[in-house]
Amino acid sequence: MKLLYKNIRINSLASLLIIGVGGIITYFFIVSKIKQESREHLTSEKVTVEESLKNGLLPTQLQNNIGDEIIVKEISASTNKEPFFTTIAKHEEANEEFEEEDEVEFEAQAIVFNCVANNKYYNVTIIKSYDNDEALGKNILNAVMISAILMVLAIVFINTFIYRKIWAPFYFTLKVLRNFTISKRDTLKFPKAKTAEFNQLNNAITLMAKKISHDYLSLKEFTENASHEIQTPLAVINSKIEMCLQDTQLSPQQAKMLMEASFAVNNLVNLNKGLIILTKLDNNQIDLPSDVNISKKIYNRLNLFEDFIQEKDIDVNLKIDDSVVIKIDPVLAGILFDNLIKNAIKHNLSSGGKINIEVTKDFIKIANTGHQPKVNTDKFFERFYKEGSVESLGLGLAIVKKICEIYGIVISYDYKDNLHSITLNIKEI
Amino acid sequence: MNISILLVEDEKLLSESIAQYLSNSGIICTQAFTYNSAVNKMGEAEFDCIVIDIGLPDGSGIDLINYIKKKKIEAGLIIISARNSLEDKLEGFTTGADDFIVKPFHLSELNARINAIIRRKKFNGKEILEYNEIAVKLESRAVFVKETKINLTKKEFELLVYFISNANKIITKDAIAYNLWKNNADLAVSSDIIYTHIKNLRKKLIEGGSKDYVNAIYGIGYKFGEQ
Repeated sequence: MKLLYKNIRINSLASLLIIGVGGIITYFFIVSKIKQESREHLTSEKVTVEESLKNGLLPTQLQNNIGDEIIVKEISASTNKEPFFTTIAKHEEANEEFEEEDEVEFEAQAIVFNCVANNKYYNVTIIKSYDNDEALGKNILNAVMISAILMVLAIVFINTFIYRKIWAPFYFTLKVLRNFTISKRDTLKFPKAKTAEFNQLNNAITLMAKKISHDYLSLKEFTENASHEIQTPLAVINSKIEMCLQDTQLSPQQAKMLMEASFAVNNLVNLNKGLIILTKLDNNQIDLPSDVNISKKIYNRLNLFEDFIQEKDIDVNLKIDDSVVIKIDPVLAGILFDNLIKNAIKHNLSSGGKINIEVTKDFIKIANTGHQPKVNTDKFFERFYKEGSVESLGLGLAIVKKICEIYGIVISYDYKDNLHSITLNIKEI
Repeated sequence: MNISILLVEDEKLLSESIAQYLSNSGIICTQAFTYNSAVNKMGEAEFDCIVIDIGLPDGSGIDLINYIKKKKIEAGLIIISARNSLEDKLEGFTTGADDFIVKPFHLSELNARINAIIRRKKFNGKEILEYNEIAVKLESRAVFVKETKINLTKKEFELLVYFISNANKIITKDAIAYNLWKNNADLAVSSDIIYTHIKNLRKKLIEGGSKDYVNAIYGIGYKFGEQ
């Protein structure tokens, strides 16, 4: 869930709760306040009524406050009764203008007291009516609901607006990070944000990226230097073996051991060569691309490997569009087709196999007969993947894949109808 | 033909092997381990070919080539490098090196290259490479046994030149594969193609009237020369 929605949800729920509770409290507070005021009012009314009666006014002549009702009953004797307040229920004809119900129940505050005036005893009840509870409740509810809606609207609006504005640097940072590729030697740059936290975040990220880049570079440098430094000792070993082999006094046993050592050194040499190429590709140490004619490269390789094709009696079928040209470093194109075609020869049947090469403007497909793949074919393009054969170092297709990656060529492997095929999709490049 | 070369290589163990191998092939080899000693040796004597390692402790091999060019020293130049990057290659060639060989290499390969450069320099490629009754005309790529011309395929021809350059040396199958197919040697090592080519070359030479000079050394490789 987006931070924005989370924020809005939490804020809205909290506001609704507070407004709801606030409404209830307000209701009770107002009700009690009204009661209290009514009582004060009634007390002062009592004094007025007493005085009026004492001044000789007849009960019927008593002045009415609007909405108040005074009931005076003459009683025979004074019962010494303390004045008291009471709440009475009143039925009243509905005011047609405002209420649709026929009868509305009222609650009213009343004061009941006895008084003596001009030797007469009265029992007086003054009733002060006020808005009924129900109406008050409704009004408060309405007010609460309107405030709640307004509040939620305000929360949504303010949050969305503020969110966009405040979090803009954050999204910018995200975008920058998403586009960051360590191998491209990018340096991260952020504009100064108005929010301190985002500046801190950006600073931390910049520092981290710098450190990572530095570590990455030194690791790369180390790998590159290491693979080059290995070349000289290998050259020494190789030359010593070669010198030993010149010795005519060598016993067959010694010669065999030397050849085994030589074989192992050679594997190491080839492995190192492959790794150097991969490191170079990883480090993007490549020349500018130029237009390379695919058919020329392929014919050239087939010519180069003619001996091997003849030796295995491989039937080569070509369906090549001679005009197809791709933009690629010519040296890498050479390595690419070397590896692909060598692969098709090496892993072919020992005799009477087939190689089909198809080149169109959309794809290059190299298919060859061969034994059914034993293991997961997804791993074919991984470094050091080997299919049983010891002679293969398992770097050829990894190099092919890396070259394809550099130029945005999608490469895929398929095994169908006894044919291993590797397809390079060159439509998009 | 007395050939003298200057070998500028700071790795002493490697330098010794190279010098020993080349001297056995009749090449007089002077060793220098640093840029300065190389400059000194060049002042003392003339060389047919100078073999230079790019990475020297006191200066780049490229600087040495520039020095050689500046001093107008007439000698073939071969660069040895631990780096097979194209940049090194281009830089080396533009400053005037004749050939470029990447570590690690077969001694027989270096020997063949030195011979090729010296032939090119001295005889403008018109030289005839001879071994007893076999004569190889390098420019026209024609091979004669006594006066009889024999027809060789491209690979057989290259193989013969390589054999004669490394006559009486034991050459491994790997070295032959590299000489004939360079970076694609791996394909040859895993097949019988070298055997096939050698068999055919041997047959053609013998049919042409030559002695059998191709000796298979069991488990190691081949030796071209009289038994």
